[in-house]
Amino acid sequence: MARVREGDFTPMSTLFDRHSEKLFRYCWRMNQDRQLSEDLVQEAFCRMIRFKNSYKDGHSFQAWIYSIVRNLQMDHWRKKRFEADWEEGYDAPSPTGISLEDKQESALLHKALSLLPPSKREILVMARFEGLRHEQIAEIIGCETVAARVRLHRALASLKEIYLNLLERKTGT
Amino acid sequence: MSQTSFCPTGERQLAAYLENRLSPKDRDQFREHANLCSICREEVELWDKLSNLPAATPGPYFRHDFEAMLARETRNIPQRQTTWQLYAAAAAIAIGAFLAGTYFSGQKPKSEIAELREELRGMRTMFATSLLQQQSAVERLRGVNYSVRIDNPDEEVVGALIQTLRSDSSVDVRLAATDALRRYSNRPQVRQSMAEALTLQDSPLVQLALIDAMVEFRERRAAPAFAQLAASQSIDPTVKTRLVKAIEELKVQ
Repeated sequence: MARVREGDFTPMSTLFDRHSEKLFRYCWRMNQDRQLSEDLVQEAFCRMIRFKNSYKDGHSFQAWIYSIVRNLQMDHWRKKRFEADWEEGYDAPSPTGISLEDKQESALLHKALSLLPPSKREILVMARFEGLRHEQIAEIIGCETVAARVRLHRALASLKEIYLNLLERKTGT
Repeated sequence: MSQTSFCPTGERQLAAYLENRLSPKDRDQFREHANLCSICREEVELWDKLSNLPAATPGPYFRHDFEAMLARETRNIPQRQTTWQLYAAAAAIAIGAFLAGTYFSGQKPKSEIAELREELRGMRTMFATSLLQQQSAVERLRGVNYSVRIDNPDEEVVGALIQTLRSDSSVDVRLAATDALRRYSNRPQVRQSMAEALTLQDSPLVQLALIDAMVEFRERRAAPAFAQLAASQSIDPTVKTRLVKAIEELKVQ
């Protein structure tokens, strides 16, 4: 980023190769809309260029770019004034190479994740799917590391509750 | 799995355990605890199951879109500085001329300002339209960028932008023209011309930009063009998906 800040944009392509898919997956897990996720990532890279001076040396680059994309996602929701309509936007790819039973379980879990409130979903997505460390998550969402851990645990507990409810409804027990 | 509530040990240690942050001793202790505590055990199981969830991948134009964006952004940065310098020079000349005029001749300053403004506007219009007719795509792109700096441009400039959108050979220039025309969405002629230009485009990028613009403008008159394009055999699948969604979006708006 130091070179980008000085006006040399050559490293942007490398940064895109390194981070764009992760950012895309994060957005997609949050909004379930492939096109919107692509747009948000493009806009995030655009903002990286425009606001290149807001990145401070010594801070986590990953946390910085996730903060940008997270803000864009929140702005989008605010603008649209709706929580993502999961059924309409649902375009989850089918898992391949696993049994029907596992596929059903996977679909149910996917559904449970989508029913979590965004504030809980985002922390689970960052920790479980993006492999961000608790310190980084804390930096992105603006809290202490200990608080991020507690929130992660509560998000997992909520997910379990939703998942079990869906499972119960499905099996009729 | 059974219905659950809350485990204080889990609240304290589970997240750290999942991130491999516990000391070996604490880790063993937590494992022993999880063997006995169904709440924590189920949460750990669920955490493992999450790794089986499939993930989406970006579409085929993801990288291309990025490169187009990068080209636009990096081209704009030096241009902004140049334009700023041009403006500063123009402003200095205008102020100088105004002061000299009022000091030496005592004429009405307001009419002079209006005249100067009109003159500057005319020059900018001429400059932008002539750039849009250049051979070089880079020059035409400059023309598009220059046009958006004209306050309330006249029909000549807007017409040149529409013509550029309809027939320019460069995708980048047509994309820039689309962006520029979005600023004049309050003019019905612009909205209609953009809707008509959609069926003339062969680039999925420009098609997507125009579709987004039509949806943003809530331009219901674009619906027939959308339907016509969606029915086309040669349409790009990504554009087709966007069109179908856009038709629905226009219906509910």
